[in-house]
Amino acid sequence: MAQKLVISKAGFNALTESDPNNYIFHSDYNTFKILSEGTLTSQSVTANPSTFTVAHGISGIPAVMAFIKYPDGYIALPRGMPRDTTSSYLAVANRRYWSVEIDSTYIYFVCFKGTTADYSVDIKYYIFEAPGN
Amino acid sequence: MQTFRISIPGYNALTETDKTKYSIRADEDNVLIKEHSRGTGTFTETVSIAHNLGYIPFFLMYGEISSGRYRLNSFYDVQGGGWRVRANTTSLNIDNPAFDANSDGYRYYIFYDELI
Repeated sequence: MAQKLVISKAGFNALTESDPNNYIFHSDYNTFKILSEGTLTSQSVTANPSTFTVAHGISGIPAVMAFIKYPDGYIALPRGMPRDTTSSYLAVANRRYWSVEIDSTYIYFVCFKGTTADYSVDIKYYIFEAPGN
Repeated sequence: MQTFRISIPGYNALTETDKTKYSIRADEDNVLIKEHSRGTGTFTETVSIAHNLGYIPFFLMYGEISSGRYRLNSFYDVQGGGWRVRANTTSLNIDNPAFDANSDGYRYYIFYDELI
């Protein structure tokens, strides 16, 4: 019988539980490995868009997750609802938003300012193993 | 140098070089979410990828916006008219209302970890 290492969540029996979702760790399944991570600080968004690039150094096209911190302290995922300093809804063209793009060499952090003033952001990113590889 | 590694069933932890064949490796930091499935595909106007987990799982999806360049996607397409990805209790669903046959690759991960 193959040996394995499993850690169940509180309230679940590691010897009998069949639902993978009820484990913190289960050696039968691949976990998401962070190959590298980094932070860009005080990046100035002055255009539509301002693009900041990082050479990822990974063979192929890796999966990436990133978070941006806006001047008001809010942290957002890529391609979420636009962030603006006003409380009323405006057209997207007027708002601050961003996206993350990847190719075989770079990660691109594409930031928009809309019609708002120039602003500065911090970006935290994680590089994971590549899908399809 | 000593290290700690656990390979997934069917792979030799002493010799395997593919990092995706390990459940954990002390050489890197690990996000302890458990992979259910991954894949790539050629997109059509709508794509449905079955997971049949009975709950909404954590997922990631990347759409090809130009040859070899992928964008991390979410439900809301800020830049208008394009990719949207959603998950329900049975499948991952990708829509592209402004379907363009010239930019139609996608890549995804689905995890066992329940999102909501």
